[in-house]
Amino acid sequence: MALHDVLTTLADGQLHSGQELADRLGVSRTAVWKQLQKLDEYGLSVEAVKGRGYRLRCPLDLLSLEGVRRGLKADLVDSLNLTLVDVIDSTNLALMQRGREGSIHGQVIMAEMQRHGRGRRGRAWASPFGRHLYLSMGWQFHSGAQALEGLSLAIGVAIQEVLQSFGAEGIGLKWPNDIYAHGAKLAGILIEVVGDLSGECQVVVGCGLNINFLPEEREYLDQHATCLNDIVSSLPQRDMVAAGLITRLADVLSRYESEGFASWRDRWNKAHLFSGQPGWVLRGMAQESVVFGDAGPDGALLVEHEDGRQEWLHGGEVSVRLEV
Amino acid sequence: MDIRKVKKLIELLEESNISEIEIQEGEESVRISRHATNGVAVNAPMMYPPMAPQAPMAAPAAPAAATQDNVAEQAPAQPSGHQVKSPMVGTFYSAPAPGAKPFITEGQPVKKGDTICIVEAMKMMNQIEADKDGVVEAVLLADGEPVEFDQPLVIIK
Repeated sequence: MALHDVLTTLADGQLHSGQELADRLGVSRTAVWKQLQKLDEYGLSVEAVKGRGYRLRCPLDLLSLEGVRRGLKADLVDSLNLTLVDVIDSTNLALMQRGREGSIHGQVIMAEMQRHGRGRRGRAWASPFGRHLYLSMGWQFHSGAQALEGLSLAIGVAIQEVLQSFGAEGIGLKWPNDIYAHGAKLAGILIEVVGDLSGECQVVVGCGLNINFLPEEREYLDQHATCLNDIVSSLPQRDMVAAGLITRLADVLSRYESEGFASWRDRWNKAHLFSGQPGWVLRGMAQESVVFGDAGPDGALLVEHEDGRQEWLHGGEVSVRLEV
Repeated sequence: MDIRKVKKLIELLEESNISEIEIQEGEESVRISRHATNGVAVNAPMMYPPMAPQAPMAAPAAPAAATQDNVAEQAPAQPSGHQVKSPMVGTFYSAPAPGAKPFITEGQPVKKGDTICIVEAMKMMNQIEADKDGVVEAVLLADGEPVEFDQPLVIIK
């Protein structure tokens, strides 16, 4: 844990001398220096100022389990099992692996950084250290995958509401489960299901939520991504965002099996970005021109083809045609 | 007739503009009509103002799905063995990511619980597991193909 202790000390972005770090951690200055080298692996730049000490180039708002728990109601603190790690391959992957061995009901994994953050179909999800939220929650369902129809949309509504609770505005949803603000992607969801898909199955809901980009992150992210910091007047602590997210996810997951998509449908449709707009549906290699309707009772998206034929979409990628 | 199939038909009907479906399978047949006074008829008026759903829209969708079921069950050419069927409507994926190594290939031994493919439904990635030990006899779909409920995906011998 020595590395984590170094981090919590340096997180304030202030200068800390090698001696101070050594004293605080109860290790030699050489040991401190070795730990600082490791921060490189986390992609964190440490500046050494001669004769004065070390500092992080950008201060960090680190997550803490105590901080997250403070933001949760007592019953959730009792019923959920929270894990926080500095670095992980992927929070979803870790829960999926646990899920093959036993129940992951109520388990939550958060990481400061993912080495191989994943989106849909193996796409990479950029997950730099300490900037955003990477969180996965496991839940047991009893009546199979059919009962989960539309869950990804309901989770989108939950995330939107968390963000709004911090004063974020201009958030919309893209079918089935992308969260946008002002035309740029703010958060993504990856839901994976394992087990008996006609009965007892375990669901892993993974969320990647952009909170605060580094200036250099923006350069490689292009214009299509945004973060919470860009859309609120005062940025909440990451612990509080994590607690809000955990609270809403647990709410959706605990009610979904009995209520289904019906309880979230109206809110989803209200936030639907593409409603009534022309665009495309991409399925495999085939791209079709359509006009988008809204989500139906099971979360499928209504589209109208050019020949007037209507169809409920259960899969495929959708994109909107930009008005020139 | 499988009760799940009936449920699916009801859902298809509810999602469409058609008022009645009749499906015959061997000696059994079922007719589901919206105009009946039972619960099936409770189809909340769906309001999609921009869509102008006048055309006899999803009419092809329902019979197509039903036909597919029939085909799946009657197709004599299919290799024999234990069928692993799709638990939902969605998209079939043979590999965890595009270009990645497929979960299974024909002739490969599998154990109960091994992931053999993914069916994606509205971005939920459902990992389909082998429900028995055996050898993969056939993978019936190509990566990215749409699947219907109960459609056989993989045959294990």
